[in-house]
Amino acid sequence: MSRAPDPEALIGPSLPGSRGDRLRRVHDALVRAGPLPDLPASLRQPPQIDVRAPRVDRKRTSPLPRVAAAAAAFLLAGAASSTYALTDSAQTRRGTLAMHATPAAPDARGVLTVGTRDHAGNVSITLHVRGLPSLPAGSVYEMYLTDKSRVVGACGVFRTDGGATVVHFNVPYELGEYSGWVITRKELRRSLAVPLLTTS
Amino acid sequence: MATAWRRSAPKHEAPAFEIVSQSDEDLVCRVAERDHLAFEALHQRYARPMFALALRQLRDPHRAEDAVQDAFTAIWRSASTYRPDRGRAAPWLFRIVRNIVIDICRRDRRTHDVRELPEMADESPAPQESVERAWSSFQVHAAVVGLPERERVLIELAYWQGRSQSEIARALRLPLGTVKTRTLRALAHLAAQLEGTL
Repeated sequence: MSRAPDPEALIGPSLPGSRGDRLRRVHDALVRAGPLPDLPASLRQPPQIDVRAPRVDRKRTSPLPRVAAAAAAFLLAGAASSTYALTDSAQTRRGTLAMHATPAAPDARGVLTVGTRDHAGNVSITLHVRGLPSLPAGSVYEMYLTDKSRVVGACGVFRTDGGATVVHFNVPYELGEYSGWVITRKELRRSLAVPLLTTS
Repeated sequence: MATAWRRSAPKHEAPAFEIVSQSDEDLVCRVAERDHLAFEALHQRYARPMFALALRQLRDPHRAEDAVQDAFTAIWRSASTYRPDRGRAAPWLFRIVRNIVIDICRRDRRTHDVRELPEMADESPAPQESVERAWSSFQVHAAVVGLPERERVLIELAYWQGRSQSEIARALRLPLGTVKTRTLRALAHLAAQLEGTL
């Protein structure tokens, strides 16, 4: 272990007795506790459990109607260098993906849990989201499936109350090697949506 | 436009989730309800203290890694058995990881040469003392992880990397007075968090 700091240099002799004593006890406890090691890469995320892996294949799905796809593709066009990848990472096997905020919603956080395909061919997707503000009337959040940064399908629309919200989707899409998801805010009377959360 | 899609910081610097206002007890109860965000938050708080504990006991980073993974798997599976009315969550979490470490030690002993055992035992503290020390360190580490980032960094540099206040000030490009004030504030926060345990 490295040398311990001098408590007098840190705490100083000028603190009144009881407060100084408390801080010195903390100092001693820190020295006794020893180093707090950094986490290895494998422990930086919790183990993903309880979720079976989604089926992964390369089959593409039918595109969205042309207008919606064009609008969403416009939003995503700048993200060509990003990857919306389940790819060969552990994410695919685990079936759970973290979603990351864009600057448009820096406090938003989300987790997508991709379930198994049912007998009819639908895949259940559960979104746990937090930090998306409640929207005014006429606006909704939308979630899209993406493939290589292009929108390939709408998963559904939802609202939040500003706190933690769980949303269940059921979608018929095949999940490709580069599948990802994006959540946007859509104002019903406007053609453009604002991207807020994305897997990447 | 492209920058609009980037995360604000790399994944290893910015944990995906932060639920700082929830108590440990609330988080475990939410994990029992299969709340992934709560699980993530619990992991953020306790993965490092658990790893530190496992590393100290097992002295092998790979086995310590396995122990922490197993511990969080166990937490996910058994969160519904936790009863907040019977006590705080931290000791419950501590027991989970400690039991897993003990199991790993037992498995290892079965495979070790018997001649090594007395020497290993001589170096270890008495069992009860070991538990108390481990529990004390676990609490201190958890409290440090709970500090605001700018205070935690100072404590880690000062205590566990052996940096002087002047060295820290230079490394972080902060005025020396700021480093001293923040370090003192960090110690005060730790004292408040560890109230009754020191």
